[in-house]
Amino acid sequence: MCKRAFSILLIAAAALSGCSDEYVAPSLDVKPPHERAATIRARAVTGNLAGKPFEAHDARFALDRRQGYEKITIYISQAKASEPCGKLGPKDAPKVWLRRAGLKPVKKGEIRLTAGKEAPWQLHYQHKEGHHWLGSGLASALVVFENVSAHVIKGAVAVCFADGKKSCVDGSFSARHCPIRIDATMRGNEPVETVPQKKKKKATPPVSDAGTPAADAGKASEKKD
Amino acid sequence: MSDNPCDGGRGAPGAPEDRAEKLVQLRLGKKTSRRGALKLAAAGAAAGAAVATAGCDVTLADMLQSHYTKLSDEDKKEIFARLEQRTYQQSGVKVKIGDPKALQGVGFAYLLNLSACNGNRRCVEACARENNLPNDPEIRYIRVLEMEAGTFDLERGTAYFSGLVPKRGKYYMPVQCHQCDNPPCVRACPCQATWKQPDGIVVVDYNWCIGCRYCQVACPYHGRRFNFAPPAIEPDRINPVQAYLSNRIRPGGVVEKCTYCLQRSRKGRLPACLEACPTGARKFGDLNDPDSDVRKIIETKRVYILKEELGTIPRFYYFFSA
Repeated sequence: MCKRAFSILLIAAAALSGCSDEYVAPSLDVKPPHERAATIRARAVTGNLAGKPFEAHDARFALDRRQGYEKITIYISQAKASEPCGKLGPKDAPKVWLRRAGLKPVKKGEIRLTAGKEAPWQLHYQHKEGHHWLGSGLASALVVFENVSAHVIKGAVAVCFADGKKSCVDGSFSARHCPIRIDATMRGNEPVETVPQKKKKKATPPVSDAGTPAADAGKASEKKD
Repeated sequence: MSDNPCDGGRGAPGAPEDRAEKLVQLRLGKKTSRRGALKLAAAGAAAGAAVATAGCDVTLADMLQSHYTKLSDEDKKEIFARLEQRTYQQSGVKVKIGDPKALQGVGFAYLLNLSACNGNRRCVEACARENNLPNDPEIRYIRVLEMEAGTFDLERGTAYFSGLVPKRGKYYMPVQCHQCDNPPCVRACPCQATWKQPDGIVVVDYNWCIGCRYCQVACPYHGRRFNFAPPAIEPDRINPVQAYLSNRIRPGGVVEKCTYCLQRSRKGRLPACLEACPTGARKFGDLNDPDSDVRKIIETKRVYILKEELGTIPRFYYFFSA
C-alpha cells in the first residue's frame, strides 16, 4: 500500500509540476502594421487574433464613473448587436479594447503605444478558449481619434500584440456611447424600469364628468407638446 | 500521510494506511489487484495531464501554501505576486492584490429598506463587476427574492423572476451573506478555511478551502456559492483592485461569498451594491459608531433579522420605512 500511495503521490506531483507559474515572457519586439495614420484602410477592424481571423461588427464606448474606478473603454467586438447598444452575441466573440483611466475627454489626434511600456492608454484583446478567457495587453499600436463627440468616437487602429501568435488587426471604427447599466447617469432619478403601456392606462385618473373624451384627448396632446 | 482532509498531506503523520486501502476497496466494491492499481495510476496520470493542460488553475505552489493566518508578510507578498502574475499571464490585465486588515473598533452592519427596494437588481450587477464574478449568471452573491406582498415566507419567494419590476402584489427582498456573529458556516468548516474577523466580516481563505460545501449547507440564508470551475471572466471586466480574502480571482472548486466588499469598506468606501442601488434601499456602516446611519436606523426603526430563532445573530437587518 505504501508503494501505491507513493506512486499516486508521484503521479500527482508530476502532473502538478507541469503547472508551474514560471512565466516565459514573449518577445516584445513587435511593431504596429501601419506607421502612418493615412495608410490604415477605411474598413472595419480586421486581422488575426490568437491565430484566428477577426472582423469587427460592433464598436462602442463606455464611461465608468464609479468612484475610484473612473475610466473610458472603447470596445471593438466581433459580436453583433441587433440594435445600437443592444445585447452583443455570441457571448464568446473576441474583442479588442482600448482603455484609459480617468474621465478626461478624449482628444483628436494620434496615440502610439509600445509593447511593454506604460502609457495612459492600454490596448488589449481577449478571446475565449474552452472555459477560459485569455488575452494580451502587450500592444504596439497606432491609434487615431479623428472625430470625438459625447456620443461617438470615430477613429482608426493598427495594432500588433506581443503574444507570440502574431496577432495583428487594423481598420477604422465608429464607437457609439453605450452607458453601463449601473452608471450614475443611467440610475439618476429616472424610473428604474419603464412602465408598461397597459399599466399606464390603468393609472390614468378617470375622465371627469365635465370633459368629453375628445376634449380630454386634446388636453393630453397639449401636455405632450 | 495526514488524516486531515484540509492540509493535503502536510499535517501530522501516522494515519493508518490500511484505512485508505479499505476505502478504495469499499469504493470499487472489490479488492484491487496490482493490474487494477496500475490501471488506476494510468487513469490518474491521464487525468493529471488533462488538468495540467487545461489551464493550470492550481499549481504545486498553491497546494503547498499554508493557511492565511499562518502566512508571514513575506509569504503573502510572494503569494500575491504569484496570483497577480497568473492573471496577467492569462488575461493580459495587471491587477493588484491587497490585504486590507480588519478595522479595530469597527463593527460593520448592513440594513435594507424593503419599502424602497423595487427588485431592479442593479446591486447584483454591481456586485458581480466588483467581485470578479463571471458575466454569465453562474454565481451571484446577492439573490433578490420576489416575495408575495403580506408574507414573510422565504419559501414562497423566488429569485427567478423576469419582466418589469416592481410587480403589483409583490415586494423584493435581497439576500446575501449576513456576516453572522454566531456563524454556522464557520462552525461547519472542517478546515477552518472560513472565519470571522474582528470587524464582523466572515472571510474565506480560497486557497485553503477544500470545496466540501459543508458551510454552504450550514448557512440558513443561502449566502454561499460553490464554483464548479474557476470564474471565466472576460479580461475587460476584471476589476484590478483586489483583495486576497475577497474579490481576487478564485480558484475553481471552492465556496465563495459576499464580504461586504472588504476591499472597499475597509478603506472607508461603501460596498458596490449600495453604490449602485438607485432607490437608496441599502444602508451600510459601523454599528459601533453612535452617529452612523445604521445605528440611527436601528435605534429608531423596527428592524427585522431573518430566521432569528436560529440564533445566528446576523449583521444584516431589514426594515420597512413606510
